[in-house]
Amino acid sequence: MHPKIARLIAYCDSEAGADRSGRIARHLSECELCRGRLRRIRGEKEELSASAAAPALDPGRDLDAVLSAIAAWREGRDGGAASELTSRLQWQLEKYFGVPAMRSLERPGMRAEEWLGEADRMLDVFLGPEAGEAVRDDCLRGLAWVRPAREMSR
Amino acid sequence: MDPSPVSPPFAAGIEQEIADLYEKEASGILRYAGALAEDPETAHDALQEAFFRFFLCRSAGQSIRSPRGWLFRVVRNYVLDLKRAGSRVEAGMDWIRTEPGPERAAPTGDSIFDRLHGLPEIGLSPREMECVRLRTEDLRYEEIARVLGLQTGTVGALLARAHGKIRKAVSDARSGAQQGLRLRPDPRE
Repeated sequence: MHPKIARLIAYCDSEAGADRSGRIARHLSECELCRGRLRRIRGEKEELSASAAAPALDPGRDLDAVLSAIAAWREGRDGGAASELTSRLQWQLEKYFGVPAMRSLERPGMRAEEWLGEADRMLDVFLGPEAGEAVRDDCLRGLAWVRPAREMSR
Repeated sequence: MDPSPVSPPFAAGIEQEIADLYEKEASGILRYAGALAEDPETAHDALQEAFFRFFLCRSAGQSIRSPRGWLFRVVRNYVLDLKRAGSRVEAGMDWIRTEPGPERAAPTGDSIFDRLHGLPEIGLSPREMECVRLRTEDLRYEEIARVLGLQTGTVGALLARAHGKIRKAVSDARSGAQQGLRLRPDPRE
């Protein structure tokens, strides 16, 4: 029996798993029809990849902007983004674990990334990694660091 | 291929880690962001914000199992958030069927991609297009699933469906071209 196209595509992408790949390889050694299908799948993938590989945009300038924003962040020049992030994280911790639990994490002079670390640990343990990630994404949503840092440095 | 998992760093090493990761992944991520946003400025902003968030999360001590998939996911969410907010990004993921912009190479041959180029509609759903796009960036199915918030098995199914539609579009384009040739009046007549 011929493998389904989805399995041939997965085989082509090395995503079929060892057992299934072995079975498909054995089938291919005996079936010209499926070898033809696989050649076509590979050919299409190569063409699409080659089209996608054309350098659409130049990322050269972006790393400097990121590193400048990191330097600005370390120096406390963040345009208020750090305190906004801290407030959001505290609010989420309060919501899920209550004010006493949130306060128990607080240390003097705590930075936003330390709050992020504490929130990560609590959320991962009690809500699970995926829900924790969703809450963290929510806290980071809409906050911009690099553009404001770029504009402040002008 | 999938970069090694990244564990909590020493503070001094984060910038280096970001520079290394940037060198490896930035082009692909920017290409994806550009296709998704269809606006170069938004794409650059998305790339920069993703790497900055990576710095933040690493500074917070997070281990990031697949930095590449993580960055693609953040970029995607960033662009989609802007779209939802009704900012300057308005168009969809039309990379496979739009006319070439000044920054994209114009089709030059008779490849599948060229044949697809200019077809008004090949019927790929946005998810199918994103799966195809992320696959061309060499993301593993597990990474694609994480970026798009899907099950890994669904990625395989979407790719198979997209493959079928692309095949059909190519074959329709071929037969259309042949028909066009037949229908074109003979100048001698």
